[in-house]
Amino acid sequence: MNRTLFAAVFLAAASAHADAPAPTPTPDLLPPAGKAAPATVAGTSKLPVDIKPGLELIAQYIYRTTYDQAGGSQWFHDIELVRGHASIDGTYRFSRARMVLEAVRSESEGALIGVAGDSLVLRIREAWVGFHYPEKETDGWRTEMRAGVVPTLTIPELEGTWMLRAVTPVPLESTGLLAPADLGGTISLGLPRGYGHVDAGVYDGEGYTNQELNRGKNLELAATVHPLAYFKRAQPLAVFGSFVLGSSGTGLAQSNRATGGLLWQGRRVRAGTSFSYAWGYGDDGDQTGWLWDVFARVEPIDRLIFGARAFYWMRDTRAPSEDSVAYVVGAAGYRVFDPLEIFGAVDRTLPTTVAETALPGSNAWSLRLIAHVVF
Amino acid sequence: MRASRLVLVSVVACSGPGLDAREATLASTLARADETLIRARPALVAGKYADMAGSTYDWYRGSLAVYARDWQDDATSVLASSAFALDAPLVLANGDPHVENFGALIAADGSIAIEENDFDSADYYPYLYDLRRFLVGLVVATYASNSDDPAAQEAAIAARRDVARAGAASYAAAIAALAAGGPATRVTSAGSDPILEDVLSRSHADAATRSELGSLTTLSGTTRTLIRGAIDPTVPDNTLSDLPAYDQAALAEALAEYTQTLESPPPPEFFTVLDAARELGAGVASWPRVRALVLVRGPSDDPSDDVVLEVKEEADSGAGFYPPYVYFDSVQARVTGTSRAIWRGASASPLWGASTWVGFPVQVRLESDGQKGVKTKRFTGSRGTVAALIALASDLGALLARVHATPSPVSDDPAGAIAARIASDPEGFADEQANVALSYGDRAFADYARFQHVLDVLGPRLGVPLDPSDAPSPDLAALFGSP
Repeated sequence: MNRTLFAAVFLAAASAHADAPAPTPTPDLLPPAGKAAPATVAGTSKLPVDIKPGLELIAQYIYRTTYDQAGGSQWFHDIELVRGHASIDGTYRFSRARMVLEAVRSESEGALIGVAGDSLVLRIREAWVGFHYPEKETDGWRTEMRAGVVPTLTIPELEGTWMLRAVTPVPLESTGLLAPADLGGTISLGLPRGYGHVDAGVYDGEGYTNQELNRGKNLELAATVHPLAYFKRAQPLAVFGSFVLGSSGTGLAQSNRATGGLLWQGRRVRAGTSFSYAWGYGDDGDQTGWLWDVFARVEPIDRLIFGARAFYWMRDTRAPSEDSVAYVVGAAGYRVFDPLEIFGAVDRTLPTTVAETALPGSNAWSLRLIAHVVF
Repeated sequence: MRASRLVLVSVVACSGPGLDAREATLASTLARADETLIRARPALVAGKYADMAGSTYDWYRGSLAVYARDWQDDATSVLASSAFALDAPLVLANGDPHVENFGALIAADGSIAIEENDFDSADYYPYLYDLRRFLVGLVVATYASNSDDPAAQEAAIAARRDVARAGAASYAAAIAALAAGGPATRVTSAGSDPILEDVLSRSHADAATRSELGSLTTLSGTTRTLIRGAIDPTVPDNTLSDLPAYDQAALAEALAEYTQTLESPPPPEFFTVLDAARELGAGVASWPRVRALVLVRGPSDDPSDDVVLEVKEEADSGAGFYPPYVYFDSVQARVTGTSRAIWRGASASPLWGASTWVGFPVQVRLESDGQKGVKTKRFTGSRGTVAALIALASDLGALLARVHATPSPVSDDPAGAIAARIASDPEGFADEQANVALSYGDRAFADYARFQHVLDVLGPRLGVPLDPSDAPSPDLAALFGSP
């Protein structure tokens, strides 16, 4: 991060303090006279805080046929809770906090020791305290800082463009190249008149599912720029770029990622393509790979939604024979009752021989029926 | 600008530990695999890593996580490259069939046979994953052989590809025979294999004399108790010590549950607990796991027929191949299910079962000197020749084929599927496996030196940060013990 960016951030913060209207006296924030405060004080503020609960649920039936290297196939079907998020947001003027609980199986794949069998349990997906200025977004200008378990910068931008997490996650997440959230802090600076935003983050670097294992911290820089924002019809066109300078494991293995993409963030059409290069993977700092991704979400008429996504993942460029996985998915959906959406999706994963041997069961296609709701 | 660069470098790199890329990979892979143990039982994990740093073969035994990682994520290891790959059907397998995981077992009829004898990692695996783990182990064993004779060791190392190839060729021939309907036979005689002959003859001798009662217990009048202190003075870190009273009291309930997992359990009074002791310093990969020896009454009150059982903490196998990825209901079901299927029946070791003890899933088995394991440190003299190593590779390769041919809910005829894959070019198959074993075996040998450097730099926590909140409760700490 250069000094100019630091300067912009701190000037914005300082001016927020200087320009803000004189704060209303808040005697309710003073300690209670003559008695102890409650043991836990969450929910005790008498300020007129804007509290907003939320839910996102994705449930699916999946039928999967897996091809093996002997030319045979096996099938399996399953009902899954792909995503179960419960959130609560609190906002008061320049302050904001958000917590997201996420449902997850207590065992990872192949494990037998979990919580109460293999129960679905809740864990923290987001838990951060934030500051933003100005209080209300005006003409795009907005500075926001967050600290805690925060969304990272690259995956949310790409997933927020795709807006079909119910159909498939962003490949940078599904391949494990990046984590969607981590312990750390982010700062985001909105550009005026819809020209985009630039962001920076510092994290522990092991993702939100693991404890930190080294002293190194990951640095992520990202920017989304709408170069034609001046023209209303072309405003959805965005150029995205990010770089993660990171480390992984106790060995401090290099784990860097560079991503560039061209996005269209329209109301009817949302599409894009991105290319990511990885230096270091799976605790091996020498391993390099890349991922190319293309996607589109189209809502030609209200409620009718089509989506398609494909990616090609070169797992290890050093491999003596090609070690890669290709994936394509197509989906059609309908918003039956606001905000309930139903999708049918077909996807195909096609690994090379080496990747299929290393990841048995990866040569497969599946048919899914998906229900998605957001409150 | 220079100042901001300094800030950036210090934030991101923050005092790198001075490891090369492969060393960093080894450190991180092992630290991730053992992280919960490192945090809660650091002294026990330190014992494991000290063993691994002490010999080439112990390094290989303790580094299964590195093999699994390289199989899945490192295409340069060529572990997952093959013209004979077969991702399904998965086979019931040990998952870690290095030569020291084979040994003698006393069957219900008193006969003794060579079988796989460790099920910590047993689960469903691709056959090539399991076979290559075995073959690489043969290569590493040549490095560990003939520690008293440099010339013999050099000859064994020079022949390491031949040794691995013999194992692969024998496997291919045996799997073809089994696919054609050949019998799945027990290995009760060693033929011309001096290593297995050594294992079987010593097992027969010690089984007849119940020599473990002499080495593990003392008799005072008519009362037998387990010893305390070092079991073998030449291995001072392998000790028996008092169990906390609560843990000892919980053994009766654990053994009652265990008997339910036996096919033909002896009467309940057989398992009356006479004494119990915490065992430290046993195994390599399982060094940090809770392990106890339990002296039980046996068939009668006569102290000469007392029986020693080993109770060992079990955990997840680490496997997770192919949908639906999980094939057993519990760790205990995994241990009993895989072992008996692989042996073709519980009678191969009638007291081998599973239970739960003070919250831990445990395996319970007979502790007997009549059940010798294959030990690379005995690959010396006539047992360390190239011919002896090739004979062992051939015999165990055939035995591994028998294991992989075990019918299971996943496949009625895994041998047929594997044999069909190999049938087009059995010689090419043997050559390919020998080449991979040679290549990865040499990498594993080089990793041994790298691991020693990792320990020098990061210490036995392998860099996992110290957090006081990771400390176990006093009761648990007492059970873990202090090596």
